[in-house]
Amino acid sequence: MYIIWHDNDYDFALWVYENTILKTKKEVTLRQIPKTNDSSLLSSDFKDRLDYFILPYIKFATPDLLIQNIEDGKSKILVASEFMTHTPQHDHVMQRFERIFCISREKVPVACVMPECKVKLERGKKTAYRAVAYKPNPFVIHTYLKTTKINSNPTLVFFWPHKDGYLKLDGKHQTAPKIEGQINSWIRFINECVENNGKINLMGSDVVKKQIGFLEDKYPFQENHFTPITFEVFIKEFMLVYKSLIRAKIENTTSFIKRLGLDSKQLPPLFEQRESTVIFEYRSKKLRTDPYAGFLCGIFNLFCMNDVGKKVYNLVHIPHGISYSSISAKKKGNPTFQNMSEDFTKCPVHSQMNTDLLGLDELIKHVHEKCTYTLSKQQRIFGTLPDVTVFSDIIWYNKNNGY
Amino acid sequence: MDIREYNITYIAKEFLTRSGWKIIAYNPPGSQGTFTIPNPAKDGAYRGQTGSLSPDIVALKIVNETNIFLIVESKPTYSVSDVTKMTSMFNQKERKELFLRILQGHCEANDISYNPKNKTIIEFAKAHGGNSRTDSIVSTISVSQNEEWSSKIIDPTQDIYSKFSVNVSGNFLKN
Repeated sequence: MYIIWHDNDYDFALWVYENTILKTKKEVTLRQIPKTNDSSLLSSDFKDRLDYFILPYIKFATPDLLIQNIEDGKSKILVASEFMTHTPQHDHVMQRFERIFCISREKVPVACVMPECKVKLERGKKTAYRAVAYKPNPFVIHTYLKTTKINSNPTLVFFWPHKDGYLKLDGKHQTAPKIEGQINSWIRFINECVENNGKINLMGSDVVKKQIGFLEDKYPFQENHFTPITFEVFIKEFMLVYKSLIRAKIENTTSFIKRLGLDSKQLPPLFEQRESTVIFEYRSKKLRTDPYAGFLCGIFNLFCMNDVGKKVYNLVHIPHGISYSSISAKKKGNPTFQNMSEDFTKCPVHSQMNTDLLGLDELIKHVHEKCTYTLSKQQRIFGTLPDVTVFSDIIWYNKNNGY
Repeated sequence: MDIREYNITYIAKEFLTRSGWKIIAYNPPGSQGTFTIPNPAKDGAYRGQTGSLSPDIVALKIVNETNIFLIVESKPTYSVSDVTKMTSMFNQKERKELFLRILQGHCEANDISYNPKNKTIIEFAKAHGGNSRTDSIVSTISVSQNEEWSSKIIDPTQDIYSKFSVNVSGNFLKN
């Protein structure tokens, strides 16, 4: 049995069903992915105990598409995909990366379909409206290529077809793209993942190799392909390439600890041993998740992980203008952000490996108790990924053990 | 039976398609949107989306060499204030011009042919659940559910449209 999980758009799920190999399968259902920020919603929306198996893949946020196979009482997530119709600048693309981050980390093939070019009518202060064409920055494509590399798992970008920057839509299901060009490749990718039960060898799949080659040719790092560049060279050169990337910088760890007066007793293990620290900073009136949460996940993969997926640089999050006291104040339910210390090696939602170890009963029990991944999106991401967050009133040290 | 806004928008879109309308934009609740119509009243340097409009459905039908663009807004229930808001969409002439300019680009990209030099009419329609009704200013698309049906689990081979009934008012939708 196959389940096409969708993010509240069954018309789009129908497009997936009608245009992929799933149409030839006997038992297929379309299901709406439930909201996870309230564990009671899971009880009403999950109809089968095996539904809970999708949780490790949606623990940060909900993707547009997730395909699950259930056979002999066993669940397997085969592939996932995100779709974006916004103009493809940094923020719009990166704010969706937290979904990709979780899924790829679980070694499930995943893709994002985004416009290669989209126009928007804009004007200056005193000028008439004109069509401004937006294209993806190489930085966002490199984040996908790096994620492919560190997870040894296809984490791809495909492009939504367009004419002069206006998107081409499917004639029947208009929230989906027209099937031509890159969308044909996306369909081949989905079909291959379904037919191979979610196991895609990076080197053995023609569609994956071809797509990676396409992205490498189109979005070089300086004049070279991105993937073969070593982490050390990348770190030395990235500032020359990503000139518009103003939110991330790298500082020597010792001088950073000294500059901010960090308490070494509270620092996460290995923090002081890592030579460099990546600082992700921005100014905001509220602790917003978009675009920062997804962006943070991208920064983590691109700058903190070396070529084999080992975390070698620390990650520090600085939301200028946000005080811990304001976001941790108790409201009706849980506060936006609170001090938590969950051991993610024992959380069955944290990874499929944990779920396999702890079993389905434990997974169901756990999510109905206090699981970090059923709290606010700020808690799930800002409360788990950065080693340290510098609020305007306190320095918050990550006490979780997971990333 | 209460009907979700998504279902109303979906059924309205299917009704229009089956009635010979070409769908240019379809933005059910929660979708990212095909395009937004900028707000000329905003400071030119402003890059955000506040004040921009993104109709739920935009459709085109050509009748006697007249281009009829239909703008549909959906809500679970009918309300007069929603109608007033919708019909004031183009109080600024510049916004209407921008809308038509965007539509031209979308139609060209999606092989929807029309002649921009012909007479063009912009018609509004309210899609809603609950009892069917008429409105002196806008067309209406009333959607009701025929039987108990949940969109949370769907058999993709079933005809979703047959689970609903549609009643319309307004000359452009009746003909």
